[in-house]
Amino acid sequence: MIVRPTAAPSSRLDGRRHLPLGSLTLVLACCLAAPLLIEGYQLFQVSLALCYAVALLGLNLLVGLNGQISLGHGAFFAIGAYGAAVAIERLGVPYWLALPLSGVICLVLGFLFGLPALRFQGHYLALCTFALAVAVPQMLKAKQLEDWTGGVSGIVLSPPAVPQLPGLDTDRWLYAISATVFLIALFAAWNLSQGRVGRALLAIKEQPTAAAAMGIDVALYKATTFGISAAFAGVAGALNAILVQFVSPDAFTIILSISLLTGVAIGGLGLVSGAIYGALFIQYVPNLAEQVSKAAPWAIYGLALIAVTLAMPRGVAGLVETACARLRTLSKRS
Amino acid sequence: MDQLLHQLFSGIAMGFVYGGIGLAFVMVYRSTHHLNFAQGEMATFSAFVALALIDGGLPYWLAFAATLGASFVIGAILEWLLMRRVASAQALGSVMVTVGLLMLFNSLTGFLFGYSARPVASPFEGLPDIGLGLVSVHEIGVALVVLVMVAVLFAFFRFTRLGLGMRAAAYNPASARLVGVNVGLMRCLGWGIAGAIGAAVAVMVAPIVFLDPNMMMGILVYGFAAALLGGLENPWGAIAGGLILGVLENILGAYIIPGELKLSAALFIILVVLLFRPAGMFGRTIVKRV
Amino acid sequence: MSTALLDVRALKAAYGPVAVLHGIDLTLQAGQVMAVLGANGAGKTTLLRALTGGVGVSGEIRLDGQRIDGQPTERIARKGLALVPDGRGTFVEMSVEENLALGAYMRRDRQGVATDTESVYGWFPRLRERRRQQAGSLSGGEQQMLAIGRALMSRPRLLLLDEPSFGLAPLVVQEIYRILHQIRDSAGVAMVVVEQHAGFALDLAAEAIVLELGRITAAGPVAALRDHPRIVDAYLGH
Repeated sequence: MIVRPTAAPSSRLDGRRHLPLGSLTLVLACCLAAPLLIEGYQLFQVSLALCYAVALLGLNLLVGLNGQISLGHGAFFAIGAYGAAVAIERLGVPYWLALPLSGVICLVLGFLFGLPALRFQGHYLALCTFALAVAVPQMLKAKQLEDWTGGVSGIVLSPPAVPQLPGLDTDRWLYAISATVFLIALFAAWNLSQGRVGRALLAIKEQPTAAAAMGIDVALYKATTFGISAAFAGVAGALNAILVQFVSPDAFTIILSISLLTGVAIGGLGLVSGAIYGALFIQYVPNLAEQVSKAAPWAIYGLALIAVTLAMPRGVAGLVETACARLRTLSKRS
Repeated sequence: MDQLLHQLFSGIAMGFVYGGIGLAFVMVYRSTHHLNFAQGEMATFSAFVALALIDGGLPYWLAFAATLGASFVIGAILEWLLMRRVASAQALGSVMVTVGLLMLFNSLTGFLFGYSARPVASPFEGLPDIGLGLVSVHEIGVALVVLVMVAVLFAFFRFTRLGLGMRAAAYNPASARLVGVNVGLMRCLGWGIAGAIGAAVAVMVAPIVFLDPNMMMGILVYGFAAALLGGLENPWGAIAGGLILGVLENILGAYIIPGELKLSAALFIILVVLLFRPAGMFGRTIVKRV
Repeated sequence: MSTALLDVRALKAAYGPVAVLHGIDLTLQAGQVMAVLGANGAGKTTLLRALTGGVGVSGEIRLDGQRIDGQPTERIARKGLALVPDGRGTFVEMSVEENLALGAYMRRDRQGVATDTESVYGWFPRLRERRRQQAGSLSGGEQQMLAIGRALMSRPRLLLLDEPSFGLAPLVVQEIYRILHQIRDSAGVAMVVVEQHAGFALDLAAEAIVLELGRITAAGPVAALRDHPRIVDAYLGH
């Protein structure tokens, strides 16, 4: 749940212990079906969408479950991407190891960043993460780090080796990697949101004083959540680097952070559906909008953020849920 | 030594710009207890409008005044239309809306005025050069404009009934209404004044940094840092914070920190302030009895 | 026959779908004090909120013959109605002085405001000692005094007090009510005092009503009502 102008009951990210088999099966089915139905560039776009979905899973854990705002997840995305690029191109790390490596780096950095930044609520965290998002791309251009980061020109990655299997080309292999990462991330996020950690986080979000009185170390949990959320973004960034085979400072500006936040807002309620709807939005809408005018994509983001906050606080997922509920009531009546 | 003095004065000049934006944040915060992430973009938009008016033939100071007036109105309308709906919600709501406004204004500016940078002439050109070679006449002009604004704001909050009402409206809207304060009006005023301040700063800074749609993004972070450093509720604090940041940026930038790490330095300062003295240098720590 | 200061007819109030007041009628003359008694949840606070525009209402509320129902709080405040809310409603981040100055927000007569500030300090000397102090650092009793003082600063014709004794030690409550007696006698301001614990309020008031689940179950002059079973219940805190 993104915004609650009144103290309404919280999102579906609480209390549901049983798996929403329906939506999970649907997701799995789509993931398996996709490479059979589409190929080439279109499949590549789906891979990119899955990459964003991973980042959104993390951000949704943070915003939806713990009520914190991050305007800086693009920075962790960038760190993950550059981490993978440096590991693969400069250190010879295999790509499948670079992915979790980026995750761990961002987990630690996120946790460390979260400790001071989360001392205070709301605005201050937004401020810190905003500053982070603006500072990191600038840092990546620094001449001191040029040997590692490639400075303004960035780093070019060589594509991962595609196994010699019939029918398997680069796009399909990249898709397979993306889908695997996404499904693992989904599983991890789901587990986190349902277990003890998830309940503790919800308690902190709803009643921090009571939660603390119950023995939950609020600061530690918050920083850990932030770190985990950053880890997701880091893995997504690493995946992005592998997919696009290129990292540069200008690919990871504040706009990326704002896009991710917009994705979470649009996607809305629900860990699974929120991430997917949001990712689809981020991947496809700006491309379409750009054909209208250069200024259009950002205007759409702006309008989307405002519209969702004011009129659709439960996002697309919430709309879908309301629609499904109505359909159920209708079918029950007849 | 001469070089150091030059850096110092350059830093002070830029510091007034940072402080000016910080002042706009203080204004919004004091009247609504929220932050306006779109402040920089709104200011850039205003600067472009001013330029368009000047190009259209209006004398400089008339265009300046008209722009300030328009920015006041835009700010007030935005508060009335949008911000009011998220005023009482958690911070997330206002952050999302103001970030949305950031994007909207940025694209609006690009759409209406194009994306290329433009040089802008200073209104203070031709005035006697009293800068002693250390600082340009324009930079003195900027400093004066900002100083006037902060003095007016300070007096407003300290000595006027309306200023008191505005602070009350932010602290405790329910009680403020009970004593007759029109809370909605106060919030509108706060946003309007902040819009005008931002516009003034942007117009003043345009001759220094070239006018382009992304002019204010970096300055925005510095403005935040300045306001935070000075204490989010303190107008003079924002200026002081800005000056400190400006000087640090220039001196450290010349000798220690390379240009590309300036924003990281600002981030670092923000984190340090929040860690050790969240009320800022001049903010009061509020006692809250549980 | 002069118009009553406060005239309430068929007042209903609800928080969204939850109805709290189910048709209240009462009248109050200028300078009169009325006690509103009742258990928790009876609707006492809601009644005061309804009078000051803080909750959605239907029915009629007239102040000096003018309709004020449905108007925004700040407009009602300007008509001479001052509320000392439950929880005091102090501006905790601001100083005692500033709180009092805010009480006089609607007034333009500098001299009158200065005189009244002095009067308030006269009623509550402890506030004078702490005039520059941040209001949030005051004790509960002092904050209650500050809240009353702030309400008086607007020279209201009708003063509403929501449980002025709440959370305070008996000695402090005694002192506050002693001062309320003085204010009643000298300033001639009408009051509606909501209390859960009846004793102090009944000593101060001339009229009383008892609210139960949003309805008035007893009403009349205090002298006549002293033995009324509902009043006795209220006295004993049932």
